[in-house]
Amino acid sequence: MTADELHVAVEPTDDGVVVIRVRGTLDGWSGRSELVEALEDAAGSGGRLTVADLSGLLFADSAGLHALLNAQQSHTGSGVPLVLAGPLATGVRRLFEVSGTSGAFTFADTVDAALSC
Amino acid sequence: MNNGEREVPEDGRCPAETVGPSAPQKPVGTDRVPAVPQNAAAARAVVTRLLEARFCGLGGEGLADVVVADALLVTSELVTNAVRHGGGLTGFSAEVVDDGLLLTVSDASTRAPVMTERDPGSAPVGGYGWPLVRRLTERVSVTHLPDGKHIVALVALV
Repeated sequence: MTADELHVAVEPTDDGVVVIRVRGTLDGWSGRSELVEALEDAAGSGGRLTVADLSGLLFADSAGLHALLNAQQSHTGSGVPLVLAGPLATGVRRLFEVSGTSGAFTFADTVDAALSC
Repeated sequence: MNNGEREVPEDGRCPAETVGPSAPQKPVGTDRVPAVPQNAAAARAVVTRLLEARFCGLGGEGLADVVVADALLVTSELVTNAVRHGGGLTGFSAEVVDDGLLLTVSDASTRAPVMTERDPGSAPVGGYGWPLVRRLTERVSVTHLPDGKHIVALVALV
């Protein structure tokens, strides 16, 4: 794996939680479809909670932000909570801050913290 | 981040090249970057290397993480715009000047970037790239050319 690639792993749990682990880089070249598909599947799964683990995300730009905003919309539409779990890399945190989109998401410091949401 | 390739003197100071005012400006596009980066990641790598070289490695006593993060975000957005909306990236240069990091991104489209800030009442998804650039730069200028345009952006490094 190189840092400039995006890696997505989906880990469903027994109690209706889908954890989506996102590692690497999320930009316009990332082949976002895998992540978008995982997030859309989770939104439509009728599960209890979706946790996007962003702790391994090294960099993201507005292309990644769009994917996450779309995922938030579809989760809201289907009534499944989506939690973005850190700790976030500085650049990822800045993306949410500077774009003014922090309020559109629910954040948790860690996946464990997110699972208690 | 690989800082191992660079030897830092034992007194912790940067090598002489980083001391004092920046080098005289050279014509845009002729220094530092011999080839146009293939994608945004390659352009970010150019900026990362430049900042590492000029500021004695990132982190620690070099630039603050947040400054580097903002520089890379601007780089990524400008290069992505050039490729997606500008008919292709035709030139890229990055240099450290007195006021900060000067990025010059050239594309093959004569159309101006979409400058409008997002209307809060509009659809909540989309259109974040250019506002991010505006917010994270000291100044941005667009120079139109017969066969495209240059976008020059200055990112503060403090």
